[in-house]
Amino acid sequence: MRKLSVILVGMMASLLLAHLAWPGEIEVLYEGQWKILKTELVSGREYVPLAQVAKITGGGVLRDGLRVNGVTFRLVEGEPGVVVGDTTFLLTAPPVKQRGAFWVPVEFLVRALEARYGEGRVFWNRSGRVVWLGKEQYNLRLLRHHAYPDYTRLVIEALTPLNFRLQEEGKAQLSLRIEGGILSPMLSEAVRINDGVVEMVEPTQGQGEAIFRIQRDAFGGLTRTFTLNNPERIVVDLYRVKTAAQPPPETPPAQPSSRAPSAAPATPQVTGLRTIAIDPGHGGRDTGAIGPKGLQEKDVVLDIGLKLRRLIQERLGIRVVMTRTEDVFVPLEERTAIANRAKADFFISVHVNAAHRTRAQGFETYFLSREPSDSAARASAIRENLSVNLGGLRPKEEDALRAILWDMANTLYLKESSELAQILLDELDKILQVDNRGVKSAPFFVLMGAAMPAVLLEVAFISNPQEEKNLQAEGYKDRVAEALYAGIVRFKDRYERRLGLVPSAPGRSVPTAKR
Amino acid sequence: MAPLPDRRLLLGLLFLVVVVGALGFLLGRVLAPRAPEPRDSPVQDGGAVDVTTRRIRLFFAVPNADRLQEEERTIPRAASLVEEAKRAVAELIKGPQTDLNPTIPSGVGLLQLYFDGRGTAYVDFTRDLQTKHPGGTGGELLTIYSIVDTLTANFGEIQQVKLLVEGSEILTLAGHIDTRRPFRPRYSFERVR
Repeated sequence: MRKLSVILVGMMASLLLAHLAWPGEIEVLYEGQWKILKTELVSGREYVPLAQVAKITGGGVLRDGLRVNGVTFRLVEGEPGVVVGDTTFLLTAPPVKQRGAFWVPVEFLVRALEARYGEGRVFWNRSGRVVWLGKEQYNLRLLRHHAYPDYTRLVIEALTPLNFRLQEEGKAQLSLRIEGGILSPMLSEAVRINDGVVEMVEPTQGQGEAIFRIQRDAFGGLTRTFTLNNPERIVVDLYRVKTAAQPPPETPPAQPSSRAPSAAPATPQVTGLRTIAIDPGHGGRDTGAIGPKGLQEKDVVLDIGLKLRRLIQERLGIRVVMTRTEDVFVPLEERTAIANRAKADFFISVHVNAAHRTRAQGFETYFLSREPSDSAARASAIRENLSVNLGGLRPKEEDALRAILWDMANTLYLKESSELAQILLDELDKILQVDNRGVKSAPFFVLMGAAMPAVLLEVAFISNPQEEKNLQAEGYKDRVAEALYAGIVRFKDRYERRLGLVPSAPGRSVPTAKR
Repeated sequence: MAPLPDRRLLLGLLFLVVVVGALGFLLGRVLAPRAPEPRDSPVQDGGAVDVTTRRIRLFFAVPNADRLQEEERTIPRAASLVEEAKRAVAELIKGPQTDLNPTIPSGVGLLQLYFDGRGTAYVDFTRDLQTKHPGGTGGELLTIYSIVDTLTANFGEIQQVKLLVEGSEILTLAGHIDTRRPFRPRYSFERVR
């Protein structure tokens, strides 16, 4: 009998033990305290004792839950739904009872701390295994920057309207002081911009104010500040300091044709299309897609990109900036940064496509879009920004006026990008005898930083054996490059006609190759 | 030797286990989270409602890989939204049973699926999701949205999905699409006007 009882108890203990393997730890930082919270694994999920949660949050354990700061969380063993007031939120795993007491998944601690200290103060770093409290409720969320041709725009998002002032701090240094500003932990590091206008921005938390120190590339240059709301934003525009034109990083084109716009005009004026950025996708350790016979995307797109560069330089006399000219790895962010620094007029990223176990073939062109639902919000934001900009204008500030024109141009990127994608698709369709898969849009990482119209092309499916074979032939890649060249010529014409640089006359001869 | 107290203790313990088990079972039944209603209610031929399984819609690639198409499948009901969502993703990983094409490389494992209770599901895959991916914007979009569409179409509480690999946020899956933000469902990739 004793034996039986030992076996039974042993079984129960092993059952329990199976649920209590691998103890871990979580750090909790709150109110100057630093606490290590032991966690236990139950069915593969990490749990903490409810009593510990109560202790940290200053709450009280109830028979069926927890009360923190007047908020009651009702728990039921095995039930992931937690009732808080008249709402319910779901835990990723249900509370369990061990040794008569509730254990809850770690994220419950975060919820309880939020009830105690307010949302926006509690941070949970899952991989770092730390839950911490922001010192105070922050009101400055994030810093964004964007390079426009004439200026760099810094945008600081706030939770409430705040007073601020921008002042010179010395040689090429400015400081933006935001009264009552409290930095979010996301704003703890200096941001290196290095876009030719701003070197870096360093947020620091001062007494009763937040300070953003702005290091410019050169002394002088106009600035402009204004605010936007919904969400609250403080905007600082820093204009490029006018100096002698910097030498272009690429050698000038070999044979400028008569239609090429004159380089470096003496006075600022509207000019035609001058610089094109070509981005052969992937490279180096990033091979991109690989065909069934082993052909690599990075090699194919570099070939096509270099062929296209040669066509443009020889026939159009336009400067071409490449994001890479050899088999090297270039980070995605760096690719548009190269184009921005070169003030390219548009950006073409060349890729080849692939998909699982498919007979898919053909070409498609893409432009950048956020989620579909974002477009309406974006349009309204643009309207709002424009009206505020105009309201804040002083009549004789030509630079500011130009800035607004650039703002408007920026809203056109979407339209121009989609136009460019369509034109390139049409030209590929004329030359290639494979499926035309249409113009599509998606949230591309590589196109996101472009301060210009930008498209991504998938010119063939390397995963299709026939297309892989095609892509091995120089002649086929030449044809693809010719098609893209023809599209660029068409886009250039439309672009310049829109700017009123060339008369709108159908049937004008353009320098194209004999096909 | 005093076997009696032992036996009494044992019996008491057994009784307790049985009672707690039964109570737990009943409680679990009563309090089982309301699983989201499938679009088509699981009415069987005879009109009886099957409460142990549910029909779900999985999204796979059409043969020419330019959009997703759904395939129906029956999965056992689970105790929670998260468990059912995991099963749906597991089915997606298994691949299609029709002539549609898979969207997730074979060998990829689902590590974890979290739901934040506010509309976002976090789906954590093994590294193979990146390293075994065939590449290409087309293939990348199909992979991302087959997961997003499957979860949002079957579970009303899930409005958007964020992809993780080995517990961490990733910049892109195969070098094109920005995966730092959660995705809302999308069934075709044609131009958005």
